Amino acid sequence: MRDDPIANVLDDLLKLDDILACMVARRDMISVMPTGDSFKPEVNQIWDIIKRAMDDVFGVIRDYSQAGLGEMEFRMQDYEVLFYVFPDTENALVAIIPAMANKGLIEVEMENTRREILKIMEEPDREPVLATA
Amino acid sequence: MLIVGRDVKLNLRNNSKIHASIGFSRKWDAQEAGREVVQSALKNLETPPSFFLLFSTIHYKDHGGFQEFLNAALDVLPEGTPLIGGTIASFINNYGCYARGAAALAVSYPNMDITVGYGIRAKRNPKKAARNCANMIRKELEKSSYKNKFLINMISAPIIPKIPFMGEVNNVKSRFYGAMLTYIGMPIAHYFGTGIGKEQDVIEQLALSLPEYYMIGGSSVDDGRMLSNYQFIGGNILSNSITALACSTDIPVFLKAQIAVHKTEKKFKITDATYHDYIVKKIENKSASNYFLKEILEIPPELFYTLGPFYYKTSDYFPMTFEENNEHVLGVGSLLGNNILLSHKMAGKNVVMCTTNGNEILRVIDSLFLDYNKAFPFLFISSSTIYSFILRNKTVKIKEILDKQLGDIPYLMIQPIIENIYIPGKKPVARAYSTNTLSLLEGGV
Repeated sequence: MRDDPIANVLDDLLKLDDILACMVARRDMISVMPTGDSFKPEVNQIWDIIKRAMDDVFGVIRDYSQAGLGEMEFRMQDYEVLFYVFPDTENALVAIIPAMANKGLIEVEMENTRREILKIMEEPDREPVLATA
Repeated sequence: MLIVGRDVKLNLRNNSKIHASIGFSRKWDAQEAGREVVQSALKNLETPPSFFLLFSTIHYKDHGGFQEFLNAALDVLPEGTPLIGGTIASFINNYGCYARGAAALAVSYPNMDITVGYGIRAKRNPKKAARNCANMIRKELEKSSYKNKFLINMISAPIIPKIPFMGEVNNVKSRFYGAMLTYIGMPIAHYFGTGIGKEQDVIEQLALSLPEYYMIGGSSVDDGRMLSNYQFIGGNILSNSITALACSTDIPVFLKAQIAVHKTEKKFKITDATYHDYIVKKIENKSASNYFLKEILEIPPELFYTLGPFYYKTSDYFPMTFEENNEHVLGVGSLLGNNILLSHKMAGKNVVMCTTNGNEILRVIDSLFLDYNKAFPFLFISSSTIYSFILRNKTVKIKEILDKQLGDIPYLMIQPIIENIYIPGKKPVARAYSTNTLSLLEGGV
């Protein structure tokens, strides 16, 4: 995990002030986390309930990813959770942000991160971590 | 992960005497980014740059600082190269579409006279700051024999003022505190370098002082929080200032502006305003904020502060213009009790509500260069960051359109918070929701 280039890409994303947590995940499983292995502290208090809600969303992603589902999001209390689905898989780049954050600029960087991760995944000698739907 | 250095061949068009190149860095460290953004620009340039435009997102403030960023940039930039720039919300160039990082445009051409100027305390006395900036430019370029002139500027954007006991205040529900901010808070904020940006005053004065210059620019900003912003000139980091780079050359200037909004049926009349026409007190002789919420947005005023988050997520879709001045497009900055603080200066009394959406923005971008034969040596574009607020991750579609239209022409689209433009013979305007494009017409278009 420590030398995982995807984790390094997530590290970059997590450095943005409004990214409180980010990961590559699917239902019941976080595939890659930033190398620090931790989220920003404010997320800890709400993580359990967010994680449960995330798993429900991943059920939808699993069912509709191949139909072209690209992004999903939900808002819970003072946080929003953004899902950027990797095409034709049940995996997504997930980020937790403050509800009042400037989502426009954050999502520009989310898209860059998704594309960088996809590029890494396409490298020929890369071990697959993304399950297909 | 780092994209700089990949095999993208920019510029170097045959027969062109103008060489331009795009610099770019995604490094987090200010020093590394400053060095890399210049090195990557110089790498594709055959001759030393005649001028250098340098921009970055606000992130280097907390990752080494802007002085380190600029010092590192100057270490690798040929000594004496005229440089201006500042912080911007995001940018698009031949390499990608980013809300974090540094970007540059370097242009090299022998038949150019270049100088830079600046003016400080732009929020307190915008006209004086603009005049000082213009005087520096006039003094240096008045002997230039070239007839074609353009000016690129960066102006400090609005900064939310910090009010004692209240903190950084944007919306205020209380009529009492709203009145306090209207009559005391906002007028004194500019003494502390905060408050509204007064970009319209700046560009009007620049146009008055340098009427023969084509002008393009924007307001330097942070990541949309409106808490700080910086302007660059040479090795100096300024705030609450104007910086400008002026050029006289033997090649005609290309400057084009477009706005991505359309009018709705909703109209109203501003019947009372204060603070140099930045704060609206009455609409149709009624409390401005109540009227705006109830009659225009159709939100019950008593619910607004519950619906505030919703409003802020949708307000970008509802700018306004003026029957008297269609070129001006602005939005609501904040609600101050009974009053409304506009994002910039009123340009009339008869307001027409507008709207926009992602498709309209992309259509405007798509139409930018349709009438031209793409003989541009470079393109410098100042385009509304509100486009990114609306398009979100689909902002990358702007890049896809530009790539398709421009091929390998080096381009840099900066996204400040307010854009300004002046075409000689026309009215100067500072506004949002616009895309303004500068280039040179080498060989004609």
